[in-house]
Amino acid sequence: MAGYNYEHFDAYIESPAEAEEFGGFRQRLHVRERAPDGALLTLDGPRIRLSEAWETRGIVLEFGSFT
Amino acid sequence: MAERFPRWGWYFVYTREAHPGEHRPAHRTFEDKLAAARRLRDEVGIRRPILVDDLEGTVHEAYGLLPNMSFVLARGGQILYKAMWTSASRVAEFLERMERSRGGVGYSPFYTEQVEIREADPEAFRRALGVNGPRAVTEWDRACEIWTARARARER
Repeated sequence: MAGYNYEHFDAYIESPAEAEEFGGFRQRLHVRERAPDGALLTLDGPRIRLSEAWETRGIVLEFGSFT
Repeated sequence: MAERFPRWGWYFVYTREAHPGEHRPAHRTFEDKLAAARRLRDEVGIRRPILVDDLEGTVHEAYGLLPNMSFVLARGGQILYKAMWTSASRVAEFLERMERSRGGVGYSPFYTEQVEIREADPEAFRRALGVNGPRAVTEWDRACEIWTARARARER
């Protein structure tokens, strides 16, 4: 297992990580709780904190990559 | 969909590559990741602001590490909706109801848990894997074999 940025999808599926991540999702972050804050880089340059984004309005976050 | 619900802030959080391949490899540096996110914007045409997580996936990890999750957060950051797998129609339905309720939904003590109905297009997914690289297709097929073998083992 090559850690977070794994090189091989099949090796990731074979490792315990997949079951831990998919199984863990229902154990954590529930509705009504405050979402985790964090800093992310925008493609235009500036860094943004999620708490800045949700300070003035509700937000919709989708996570993903090319596939 | 962002145009339909302009009162909400819409963001796409770019994570690790779920199915690395020869043309879209796993990120080794933050610059790799940033360049891949720019390609995603330009080639896939994502118009929402793309937010790039750090190389270690700190924000992705805080939200659960799944490859295609979605969350709707109220002003102030309260979680209103969490989904293991993004369903555009489900999110739209939720936002429509939120907007009709004029905020009243936020005070209901109830919540719903439902199975998700996949809106997947296997052919399109396979084509996308091929664009990532031939290895991404081979490794996907092998993962499917692993899932099948596990399902058989559970039945025994």
